[in-house]
Amino acid sequence: MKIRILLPLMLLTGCTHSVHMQHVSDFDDVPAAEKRSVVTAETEQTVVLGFVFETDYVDQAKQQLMTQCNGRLSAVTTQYSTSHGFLHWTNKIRMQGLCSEG
Amino acid sequence: MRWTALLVLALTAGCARLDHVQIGSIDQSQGELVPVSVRLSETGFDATAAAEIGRVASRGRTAENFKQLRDILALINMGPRTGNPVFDDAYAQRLQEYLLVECPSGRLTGIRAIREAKTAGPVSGEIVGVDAYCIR
Repeated sequence: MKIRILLPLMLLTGCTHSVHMQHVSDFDDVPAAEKRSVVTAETEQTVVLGFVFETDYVDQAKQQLMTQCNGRLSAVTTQYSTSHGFLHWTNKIRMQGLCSEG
Repeated sequence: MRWTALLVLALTAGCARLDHVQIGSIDQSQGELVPVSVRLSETGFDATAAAEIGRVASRGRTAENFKQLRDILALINMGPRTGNPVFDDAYAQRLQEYLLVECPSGRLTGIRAIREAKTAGPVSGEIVGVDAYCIR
């Protein structure tokens, strides 16, 4: 009986998240809709029982964003969140910006 | 005693929480400033806290079951938290899109990014929002 109650709960709550922060940069001279494209970069950091294996994931996200746009990047939003798990968790950075090239 | 503790808990739970606020540059020289606001939210639920409430509110074998449940939930949901956990971390990803809908010119200034929540014990509305001025 206990297992019948616990199992759905474990399945339901083993996939929770927490959004810590959403940063929005200045919207300086955002180009017209037809002249801009949305670029997105996502990187992760896995933490097992507090032990960290990747410490430059934020820089990697920024680099990914810059690689996707050779022109001007504006209106950049940055989301920092954590996905919870069994004895481990994953920190995530998601950056999104508007790219205008040429 | 338990009911007193629960009553105190309920009364001190509060109903709003501010986690983070940040403001950008403000340009009042380019034209008329029209306030715009975008709020995106998701239901937060702290199952561990709910199990703890169950433990405090019950006795004997039931209280022991709630304690075990609380411990298991804590183990399978490890990690840093801001507010109550949510089941979808993509709820704030369309912030930029909605801001451009509110201000089609894209000329925004005085951007205030806010992370806040409306709380009711283990249940909450986790909110990501932006207030800004659209330059017309």
